[in-house]
Amino acid sequence: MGKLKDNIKLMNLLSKAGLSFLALAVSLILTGLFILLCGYDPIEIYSALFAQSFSSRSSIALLLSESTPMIFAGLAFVVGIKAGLVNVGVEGQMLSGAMCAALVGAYCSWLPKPLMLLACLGAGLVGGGLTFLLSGYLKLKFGASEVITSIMMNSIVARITEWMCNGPFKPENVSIGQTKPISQAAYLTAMIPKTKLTWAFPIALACCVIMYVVLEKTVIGYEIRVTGMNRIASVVAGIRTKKMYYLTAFLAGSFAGLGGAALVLGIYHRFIDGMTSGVGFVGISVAALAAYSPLAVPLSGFLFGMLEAASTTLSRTTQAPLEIMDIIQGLVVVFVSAPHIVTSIKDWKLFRPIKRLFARKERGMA
Amino acid sequence: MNGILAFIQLALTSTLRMSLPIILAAVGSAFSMRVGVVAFGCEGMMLMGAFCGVLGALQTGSNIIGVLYAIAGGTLISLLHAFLHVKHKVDGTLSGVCINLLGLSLTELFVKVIWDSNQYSPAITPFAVFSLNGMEKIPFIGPILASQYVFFYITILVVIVSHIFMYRTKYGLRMRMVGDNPMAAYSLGINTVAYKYFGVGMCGALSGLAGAYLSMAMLSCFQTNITSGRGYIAMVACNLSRSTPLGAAVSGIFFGFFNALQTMFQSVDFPSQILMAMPYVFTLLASLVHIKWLRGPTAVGKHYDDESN
Repeated sequence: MGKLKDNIKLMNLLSKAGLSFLALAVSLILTGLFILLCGYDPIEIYSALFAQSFSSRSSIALLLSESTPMIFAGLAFVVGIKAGLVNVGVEGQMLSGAMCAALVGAYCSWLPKPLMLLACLGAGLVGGGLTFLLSGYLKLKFGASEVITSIMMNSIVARITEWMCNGPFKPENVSIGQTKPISQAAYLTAMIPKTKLTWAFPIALACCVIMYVVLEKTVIGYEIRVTGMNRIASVVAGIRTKKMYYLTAFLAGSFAGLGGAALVLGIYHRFIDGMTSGVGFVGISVAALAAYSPLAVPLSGFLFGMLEAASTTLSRTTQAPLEIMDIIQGLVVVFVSAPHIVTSIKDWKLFRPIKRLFARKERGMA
Repeated sequence: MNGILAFIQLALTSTLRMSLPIILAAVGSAFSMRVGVVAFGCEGMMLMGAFCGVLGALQTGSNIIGVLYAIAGGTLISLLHAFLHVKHKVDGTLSGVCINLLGLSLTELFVKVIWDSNQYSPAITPFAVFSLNGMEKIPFIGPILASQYVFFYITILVVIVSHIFMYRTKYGLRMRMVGDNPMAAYSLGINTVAYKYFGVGMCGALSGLAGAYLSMAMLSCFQTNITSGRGYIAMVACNLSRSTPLGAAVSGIFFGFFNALQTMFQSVDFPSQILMAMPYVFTLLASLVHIKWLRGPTAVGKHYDDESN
């Protein structure tokens, strides 16, 4: 019996993975058509993207460092949706986490060195967590949709941080809005010297693994998932759903906040106005492509990081509009959430002769 | 005394100007909500409309054709929303998020490909303010009306016609029924799927019109992310009024007021970023309010063939 159960699990996993793969393939093909329509050769661009990403040690490091915030953002969305909270506020949570980390890093320099880094990470975690916890609170207390409130929080946090780094916390003699640089003790150092790859990347991986274990192997994780599947049933079963909502909201937000803090501590070493530049929204696509499973998040984050890193470097050499890659993000969500579109491809008229051929073969064999 | 009067006039003028796109999109959302589809894609539809409007105006040289382009563009992307939600049963929120992602990235791409620019389209001749002869001579409200665009009158027309359609015609009754109980509607022989497509399509058309107002009257070019969250604000405005067109107009003016704050207080020494955050803060607060005596659709997100029915 145990073996049968394992087999079913494996089948489920494979069909999920196959679906994500199909969705990605269809999105890439559609985007390729767009590239063709714009008058460029899609195969050339795709192969250049691929070659660029793996051309040298530093470009692989760049790829991994670009995918780090995406993994955090994807995880933030995945954790939220497990309890039925659609977390579209990742962008704002990242910004508030980044701001908290930057402020602690710049103004608490009296802390001893190892504590400093921990304090900064903790500040980012709490900053992001509280931002989404507010949305969760408003949902439970007033029945306000968390989607609306978290999107509004995105705009509010963006404006407030813009004001903070242009007003009270702006150091002298700088033109772009930013805060004071953080003290060196708080730096997340490079994993491979002279590259952009910092220790934030293994932290992100560890977070994904921890969340997988918590969600799939513990009682709390089970209760969170049941709450997300059917709130009324879980109330009847004696699960404290409110507590689960609050917990999940805080967790989801805190991963986004950690992502923001990692950007500050690892790359920019200060808060810069608008530094997340839309990574939070890519998180939705990362999560969708990972079929909302925490263990698959690093893989899909890696993929979107690759697109991001390569299109930044490629845009210096080619004239092709690499904004096109952003379309993939939208398309992936479409195809993963509407699997029927992808699976119905095999019913197209175009494939009928092939299917008939196979059908005849089967009959012949029987 | 004259100063205060002038300030009130300025406040009213900019409030009305700012509330038009929100009202138009909110009435569109009302159509969508009344057929039971969450109107999350407004933002993407408005962006598409704003882009297509400028594109049409630049291609044909006529602003009116541009507006038609905008309506077509908004409708087209809204039909994708309907296709995902109605045909493929994707959760309305998620498919709305898809539409918004696609709207943003597609318009960004088109700006880059067509005009080879990172943010702005070339300038068009924007709509001029629309005033009849001698209108500005009416005391007090004259100057306010005389500085509105033709969209002001279109919006009034849209609100009234939508109200009459929803509450005074049999098609409106059927439409509301689809949003309240799709299974009952289906059992009476109403084509619920067609009504859902119609409602979402109307949402796209009106949001597209709202987008055209943003890019062709308030500005004179398309700018990436020109809507900056107005689609979501419109959705909250629609929810606040429980999806009634007249209520959407009232709450649209309320939100327009907070959008206009920045124009009103730009001479006062106050951080502009905080003023810019105000509309969002009040939208967030408004999403907490539930007005009991208005009745909204009861079966949002449900289909006639749901198993749980």
